[in-house]
Amino acid sequence: MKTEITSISKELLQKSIDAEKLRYCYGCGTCTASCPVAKVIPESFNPRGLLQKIFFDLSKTLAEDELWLCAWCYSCYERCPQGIKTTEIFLLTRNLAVEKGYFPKQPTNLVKQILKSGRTLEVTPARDRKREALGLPKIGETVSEKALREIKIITEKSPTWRVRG
Amino acid sequence: MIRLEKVSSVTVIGGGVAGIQAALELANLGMLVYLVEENPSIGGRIIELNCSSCRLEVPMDCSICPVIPKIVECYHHPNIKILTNAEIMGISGSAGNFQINVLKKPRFINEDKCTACGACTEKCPVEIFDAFNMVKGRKKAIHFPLPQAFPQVPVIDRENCLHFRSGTCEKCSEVCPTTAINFNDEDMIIGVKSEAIILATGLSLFDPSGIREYGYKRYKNVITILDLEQMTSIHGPTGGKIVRISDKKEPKSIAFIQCVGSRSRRTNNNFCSGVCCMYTAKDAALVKILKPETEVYVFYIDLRVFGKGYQELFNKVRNSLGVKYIRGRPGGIWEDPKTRDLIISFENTLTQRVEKLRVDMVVLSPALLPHPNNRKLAEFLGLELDEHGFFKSPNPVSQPFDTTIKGVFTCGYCRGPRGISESATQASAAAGRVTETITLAKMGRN
Amino acid sequence: MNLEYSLFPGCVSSAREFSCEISARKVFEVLNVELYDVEDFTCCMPACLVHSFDYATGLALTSRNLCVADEFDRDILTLCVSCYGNLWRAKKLMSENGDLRRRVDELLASIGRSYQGKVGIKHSITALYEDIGPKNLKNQVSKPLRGIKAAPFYGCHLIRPREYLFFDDAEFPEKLDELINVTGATSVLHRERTGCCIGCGSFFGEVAEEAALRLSVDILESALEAKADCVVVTCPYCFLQIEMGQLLFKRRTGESYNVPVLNYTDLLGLALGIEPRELGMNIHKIDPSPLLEKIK
Repeated sequence: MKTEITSISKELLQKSIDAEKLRYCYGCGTCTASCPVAKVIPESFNPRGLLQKIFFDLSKTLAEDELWLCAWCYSCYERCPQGIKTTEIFLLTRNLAVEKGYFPKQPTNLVKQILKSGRTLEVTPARDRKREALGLPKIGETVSEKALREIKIITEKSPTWRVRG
Repeated sequence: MIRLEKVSSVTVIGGGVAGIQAALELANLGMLVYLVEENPSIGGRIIELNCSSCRLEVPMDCSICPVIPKIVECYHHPNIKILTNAEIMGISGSAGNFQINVLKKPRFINEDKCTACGACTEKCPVEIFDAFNMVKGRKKAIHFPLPQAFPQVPVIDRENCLHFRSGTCEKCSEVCPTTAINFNDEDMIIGVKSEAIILATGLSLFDPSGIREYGYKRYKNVITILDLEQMTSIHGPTGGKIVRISDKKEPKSIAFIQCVGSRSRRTNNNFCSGVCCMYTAKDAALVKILKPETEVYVFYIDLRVFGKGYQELFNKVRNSLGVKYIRGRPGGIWEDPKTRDLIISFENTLTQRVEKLRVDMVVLSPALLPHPNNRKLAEFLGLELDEHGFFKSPNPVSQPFDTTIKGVFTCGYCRGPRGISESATQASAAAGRVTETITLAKMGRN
Repeated sequence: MNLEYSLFPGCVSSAREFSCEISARKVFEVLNVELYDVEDFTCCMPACLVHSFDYATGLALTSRNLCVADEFDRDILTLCVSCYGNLWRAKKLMSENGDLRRRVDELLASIGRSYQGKVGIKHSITALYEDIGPKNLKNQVSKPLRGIKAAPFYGCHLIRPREYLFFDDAEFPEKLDELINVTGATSVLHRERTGCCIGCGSFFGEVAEEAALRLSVDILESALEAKADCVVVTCPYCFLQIEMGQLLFKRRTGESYNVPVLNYTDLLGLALGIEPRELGMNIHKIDPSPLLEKIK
């Protein structure tokens, strides 16, 4: 099972690198020029540089925090003159990072929350009562039991998630 | 249908630099040449450009000066028959015996009588869109094709002219001092017989409004480099002054952006147009020379300045003239709605800084594409085109100017990205091939 | 109007920013549109978070929501543009054949579901524009918001990528501006109209939070340059970010921007004559009173 999942990520990444033409990147900088994250924290995130690092030194890049700073806005994806699917490539590289055991703190906590309650954000009883007071239907601390069960079954097959509990 | 009796030796399709050069060389050898051109005058792209060599004080194979004398020579050469305003409708036959059907659309003005006084263009009441005149954007239904066109004889736009639409106007004819206007001019279909054909269809410009984030056609002060060339020309709409289209003021800062639409898999033009780095440098330099206090920026991805003397010229442009080169393809341009200034977002990839630059005007260097007519010609002849629409040679090393059909040759941009002097050089080569082919045929050897 | 949708509120609406859901429910009620709650919906499982851990599993979890929606003969209506974009992305990926689809089908089969892709995916904005239409909305406006200048903030996933989202243009969108003008307010042109709030990115730690703060400030500056009275958003996450940005800025520097942030449904609701309280505007963190005063 583990190999199968792993091979999907690797295969998709390879497909992305070849099919999505990562090797045709000539470092023009359009992605960085369009990136909202690079605009405000250029010292911490530069998509052009990150893309080059993924291509040239994948194993070292997997451990970088920079990989997790893409805000997934698709601006670079839209404008890249070579049609490189930057957003997808970052996503697939994250898959490999997780497989290698690199778990960034906050995303991991959010995923744990999803496994627990079916949502990324917690709804405490107090929050639920607030909803009621404002005229909204109550939604409970977790999603429906059926949904939770289904989430568990699907994610059980992913060793990554099982490891996180 | 008019069938021509004398068999011409060669038909040259395309009356630009390459076409003219090939025609002259063949005509000088005594061959009868038909030069077919779709526009109302010959000269091709070059007469759309401005002459700047003298102002730059460097020997550059730029535009008008070398070519105008050739255009005039072409016109007066006894062995060259020029068909302008002409469209190829079909080609049949084979090497030694091609039959080319040409539709010659009427100009409605008798070239021999016209003195180019311009009275007709002043009186004409109809204004039409002039894609070629970004500043005014309008011309009359009867108009001179281009300031540098030869012959300087107007042409009537039949679709918009009131006389043809409703029979209600003959103002131009009334004021013409030599009665040169003839509304009864008709389409002519001419059958040309040729032993050989030279294709010299040249290039067309990529429409940069396809790169939407740069706002061409949306933002008034974003123009193409061709628009700039016209503006700097003395014969142009502003008499040589560079102005912003929004308020006609002279810009204090100009940014050039290279590779717009070229080297891009996204636009399916993933080739380099070859000449833009140099012509952008030339125009950037020209801006600086005309008005040294202008801030001039050039956004580039790479700098391709091969050629004799080009690196030196480029160094002069960047170092002595002070044009600021920034390595980074801009992500997008925002127009300030109040001032119509342009704010460019870019990464300076060499310093890794993400910045914005406010300029008065942006000039785009668009991809130069093979002419769309190539497809039609390829179909008529059964020729092969490559995936970008350039004519293919059977072998780029041993038979570069041949095509996959015997008796048909190519030269100039229609073969692949080329500069002006290279196109002329290739034209000589193609003319040489034609001469060789025809001579061998005469000697009974093929 | 017999329109009905399966409501997909998303995590931020459900757990953090209630005002968006209150506003949407009220406005659609007034417009006679039925919004049904669906018990078995979960988080949309965003690609940037969940699929980043495991592509196939993440896609299966997102597609699971689409399977649940298929049980009913109604389109999905999202309140959050991230949900909207993410669900469409899943729909597109699931329409391609290959190993990925096969893998996801297996995972779905293990919970007894099979992906059909029947129902459409709408957002409150796309439903208002496409299913009801600006003209219809304009006819129902009883209190036009004259004199109000609104700076639209489209939201990344409403318009990008054009590969599978076709509601509006990605570089020069116009539909939200149209919807704003329908309420009598004037939509102003500002440079961050197609920008990003880094809501999706704020999952990722302190650095990202710093980025979000700086970006909110940029958005506010952009709106103020255009002399806007408020920023109009289409997503609870954008709402959260631009409000929180102002609060954090105040905490840090002592200065307040005081630019009210409105959901589009707030603006529409006011124009339809609905009381601000019924739209949840009393729980906005940035006081919208100056704006409400101007309307009176």
